[in-house]
Amino acid sequence: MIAAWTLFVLSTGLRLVELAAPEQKAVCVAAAVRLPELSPKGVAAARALVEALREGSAAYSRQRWLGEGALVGVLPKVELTDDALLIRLATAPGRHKVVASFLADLLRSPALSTEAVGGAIQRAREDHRSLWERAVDPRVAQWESLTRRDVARLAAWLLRPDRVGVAISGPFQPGEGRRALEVRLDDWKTSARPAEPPGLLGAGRSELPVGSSRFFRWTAPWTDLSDRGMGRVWLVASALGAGKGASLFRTWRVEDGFSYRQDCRLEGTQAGVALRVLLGKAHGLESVPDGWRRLLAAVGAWTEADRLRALAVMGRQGPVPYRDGALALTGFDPTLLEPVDQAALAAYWALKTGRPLSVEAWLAEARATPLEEMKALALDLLSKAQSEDSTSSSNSG
Amino acid sequence: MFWVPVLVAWLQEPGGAVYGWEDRSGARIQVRTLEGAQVAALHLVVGTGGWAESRERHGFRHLLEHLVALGPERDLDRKLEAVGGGLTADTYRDASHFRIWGPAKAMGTLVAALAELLRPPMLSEALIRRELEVLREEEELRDSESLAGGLLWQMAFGEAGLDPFGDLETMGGASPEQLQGLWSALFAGRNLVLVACVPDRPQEWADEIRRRVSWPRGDRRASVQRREARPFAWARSDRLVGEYRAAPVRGLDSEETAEALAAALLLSSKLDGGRVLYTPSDRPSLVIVGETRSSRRLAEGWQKALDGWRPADGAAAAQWAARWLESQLEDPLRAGLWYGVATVQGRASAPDDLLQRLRGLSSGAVRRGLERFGADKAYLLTGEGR
Repeated sequence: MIAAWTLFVLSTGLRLVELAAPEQKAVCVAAAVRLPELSPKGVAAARALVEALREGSAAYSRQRWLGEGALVGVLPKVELTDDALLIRLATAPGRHKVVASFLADLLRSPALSTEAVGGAIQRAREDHRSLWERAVDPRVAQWESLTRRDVARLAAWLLRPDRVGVAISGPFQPGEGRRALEVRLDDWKTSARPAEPPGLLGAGRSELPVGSSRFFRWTAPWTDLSDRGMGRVWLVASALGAGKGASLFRTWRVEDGFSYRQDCRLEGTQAGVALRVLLGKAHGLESVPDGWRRLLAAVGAWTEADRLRALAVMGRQGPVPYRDGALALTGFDPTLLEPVDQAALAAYWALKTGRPLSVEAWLAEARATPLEEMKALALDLLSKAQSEDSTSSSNSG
Repeated sequence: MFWVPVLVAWLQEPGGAVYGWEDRSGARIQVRTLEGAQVAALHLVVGTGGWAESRERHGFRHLLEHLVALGPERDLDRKLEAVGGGLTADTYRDASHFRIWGPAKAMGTLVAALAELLRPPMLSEALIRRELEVLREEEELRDSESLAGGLLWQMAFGEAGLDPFGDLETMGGASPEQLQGLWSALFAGRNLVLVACVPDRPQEWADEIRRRVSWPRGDRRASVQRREARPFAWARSDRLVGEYRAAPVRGLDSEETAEALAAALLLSSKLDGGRVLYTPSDRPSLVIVGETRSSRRLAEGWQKALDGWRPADGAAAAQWAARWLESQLEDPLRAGLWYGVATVQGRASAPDDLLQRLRGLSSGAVRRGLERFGADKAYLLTGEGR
């Protein structure tokens, strides 16, 4: 049984979800900040902002954050996805007020001094992401004209209660977690809405990396975020890519010896979510179109066993060991995430949809989806998917 | 079948209650109860059986791991996922590790999967060729951490530290007969350890394992390759990105391992892309700390950590390291690797001993650990490549 989150909306418009989870060994808090579509310069500013937030707030330094996380062996994280900035913290049971203070202070008073932002820009610019990380987030960043002021403007524009969702879970009494966040965020009033940061918003650009491997990405948009919609698309994503019995692994790796790493992800986008297939390949690049056709054929041959396998994978409990930490919001077995990642997903979902996360409801809808419908949906999505590869670039919008 | 049940020990914390025995084949089996665990996991740890990596067969164990993990019918993962479980496999220098996991109520399926995993694999030229294609793709996708680990081990131990990933050209020469022979040497007798991490009913798990699993026999006594640390060195590679330092340590529960682990965690926490790489082993080994996002910040971070040293830093790092290991030993998906490797190397209690050491670690010991990553005491690697 997956526990249910409860949603509260504060007077400022901030959405807050809580989960009292007696069995959880840590208190987890998370925030999701809604990101608009970012121009290449805006991507650079957002990556620099992430670096700045990793340093903590004026009152709570990075070392203090780390000390809290160390109590339960969980490192704090600040990350970007296509449509959100995510913050995750965890600490020991009984310390929900402490960690709520950290999160509230970071959102309200991030350490954005001139020196801190300058250092953050430098670190973000020098950042060496792995080839796979760059393939997962191939947005182009333009650093040349980025200033400290740009980053500060973006922060002021983003960090406002109506753009933020927060979540808290842990072994506390129902209502305790909510109150811990509420008293620290309910009076978060910001001044009149600041002007849009100039040059940072707008159409972005993506370029899949070129290295010893090339990358191929197929993207199919999905806008039905109802429980039924999410249940169906999650089922398709699981049959395609969750586990080694899924079609991607089975067809490309086991049967064809075609690739080592391939992934099917559900990722948040401005319009909803997107189902994405990602492939890394170094040899025999000319065979990729054939590989794609073989994948479609495998999907066309799905049987009830494939549906049941996907449902079993979706319904399993506990963190899966081979996630590679490439969470996005996605990967998307929400039942399998660590509690702190679940909290991030819950904060994001409340912000995105105005509804509390209900993985149980998605599961129920997935179970009610018959094989033929699952197959038809998968083929429809894959046949319409937009493809990109390392040798081409495209607009991410 | 003749079994000799032995009650090994009853422990109260990490590690949980243990029920263990030795099969007449020599295989050693432990059933550990981890109360509150959400899943059950069967960890099969296969020692190197005297087949440590060498230039002549560099990567054969890795290739065999790929072929064995699919199961004799090549559908083991599917069977497990159908009950909400899964299987992973990894090859390390001192052991291979197969992890079968799933809901505890699927005990029969999990144990049956283990029994299948222990059956001799069907090997053919075609299967080997196909798997080599996959390994060629894997090689190109290796990240900087993995490459750095391989290079540092070779800097530290030379031929005795060869990267278990292997050499693709050498692997390309592997025949079905050679791999069959390797399987017979590795999947036999005392070279096999099973650690079952279960939430409850250890006796039932033990009975199920006894009833369904047939352990391959073997009387081969493994000779252990000597591994001696070489003089400290510095290297640069254009194949990877980042900065890495490796401190040599001896023994899983040695004082230097505890010190280096706590210090590495402390140092990594001060870095943006900080990582600690350590594979449990009771043999001479490395604790590696890395900055994966920059090739400049590790040396600076290390110096700052020493210059700005406060005893409170050391105390926090010791506490963190102890908590980190506790969480490993309480997790059914991770604990088996620690206990399995320690058992196959002959000291089953070493992970618990390491935990005790970490719990008692002084701030001064963490500082000594930090000093172990100095330029004159560690192997240094920087990369400015892809």
